[in-house]
Formats: sequence, structure tokens, C-alpha cells
Amino acid sequence: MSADSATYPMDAHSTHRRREPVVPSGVLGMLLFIFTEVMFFAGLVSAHAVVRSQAAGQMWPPYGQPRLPVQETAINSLALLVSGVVLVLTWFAYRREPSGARIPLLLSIVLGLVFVSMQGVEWAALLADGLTLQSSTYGGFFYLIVGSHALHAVGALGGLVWAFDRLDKNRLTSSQLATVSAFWYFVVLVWPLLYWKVYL
Amino acid sequence: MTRAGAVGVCTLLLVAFLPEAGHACPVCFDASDENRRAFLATTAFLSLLPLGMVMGAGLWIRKRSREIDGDDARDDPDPNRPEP
Repeated sequence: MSADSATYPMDAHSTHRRREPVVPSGVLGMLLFIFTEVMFFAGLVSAHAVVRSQAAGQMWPPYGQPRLPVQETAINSLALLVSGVVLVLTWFAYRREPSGARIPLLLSIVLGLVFVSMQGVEWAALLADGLTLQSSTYGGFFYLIVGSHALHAVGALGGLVWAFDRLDKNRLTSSQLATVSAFWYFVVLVWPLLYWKVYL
Repeated sequence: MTRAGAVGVCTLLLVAFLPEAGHACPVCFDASDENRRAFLATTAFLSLLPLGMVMGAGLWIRKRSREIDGDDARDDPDPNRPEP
């Protein structure tokens, strides 16, 4: 036995406690994923800003293209933001008593579903009005940016539903909740920037 | 200065001074001010954003690590003390 192992026994009877991880693996993995997604949206928003600036002397949105529903989407955005706030409350409720997190988590999921559903209704109306991916760069950017966000929202909602299922079975760990919450926070926090750049 | 250091400094100088402006860039030399501003702003945004995220994550992990070290020290002031 070496001097080190004699001083710091590593077997099951060790007197040393195992150090708590600085960041749970799931959260770290999700953060790395979110970093790549932030760059993805930053690229899309930057391309949109440059193309829009090229149309500075002309009209934006282009002539003949339908206008985006700014007010309806603002109300819809509020549902998404409230969902993010409720998820923060879910975290505090979970830390006090895991079973107490059930209702706020469910509320957060419902508000997220309201946002995604209303976006779907808005898309159907815009398609009926003639705004498609091919109709103009305006339409192309709208569906690419807002559609990418909607895909992320659906994925993050899937994570929240999974977390709710595990919570219901008393099998949800705090690191699992933190991981799925981090993704939903990303979806919530990136939306105001997209709304500002695309809708206003 | 060591040989490796000299090579490093020379490489840095070459990288800094050799490249020339890309005149093929459709927006860098655009007559429209708004277009040029958008191009510069998005270039700065896309360059600084990843650096900011990496630095932010590094600082947050450092803060978390110190918090955990503080908790450990409070729970057990002498971690090498043998079990009674």
C-alpha cells in the first residue's frame, strides 16, 4: 500500500465523504447544448438583421406580404414568460417538498402548451394569408426563426412532461429537474429577442 | 526568450498583419450606412457572444466550487481526522 492510499483510504470504509459535484453532469451537458443553440439563433438573427438592413430604403415587410400579428403574439409571449416564472417557483417548491412541485410544474407545462398551440393557430392564419417559406425572404426568415423556436419549445415541453411523470412516481431527482428546467429557461429567455427582431 | 516563445510571437505577428480586407464581401463596402452598421454589429455580436458565454460559465462554475468548498469546511473542519 502506498503512503497516499494509507493516508487517504479509498475503500467503502473511507472516513472521507465523496465531494458533491460542482455541476451535475446532466446540467453541464444541457448547458453545452444550450451554448450551441444560442449560437444557432444568434446566426439566424444576425442574418435576418443584415437582410433587413439591405431593404432599408424599401418596405419591410415587403409589399404584398401579410403583416405579423404583433399584439396577439405579445399576449402569447406573456403566457410563455409566466410559464418560465412558474417553473422557477416549481424549483423552490421542489426544494421544500418534492410533492409540492406537482401543481406549479403542471401549470408551467399547460402555459407552454398554450404558447405552442397559439403559435400553431397564428401560423395557420399566416399561411392562409399567403405568407409561406417561398413567398419572400421575409416569409423564409419568419418560418425559419420562429419555427426553430417552436421546435425547441416542443422538445423542452417533452422534457417537462417527462419530469412531471417522474415526479408523479416519486423518482425525479433535483439534477433531472434542473436539467429539463434549464432547457425551458432557454426557450423562454430567447423568445423576447426573437419577438423583438422578427415581429417589431 | 526561448525558441518556442519566439516562434509564438512571430506567428502572432503574422496572423495579425498578413490578412487583408476581403473586398469580395458584399456588405463591408456597401454604400448604405444601415447595411454596414448591421454587418459590423452582427460581427461583433457573433464574436463576443461565445466568449461571454464561456467566461460566464467559467465564473459560475468557480463560484459553485467555492460554495461547495465552504460548505465542506463548515461541515467538517478537519477532513483528515481519523474516525473515533
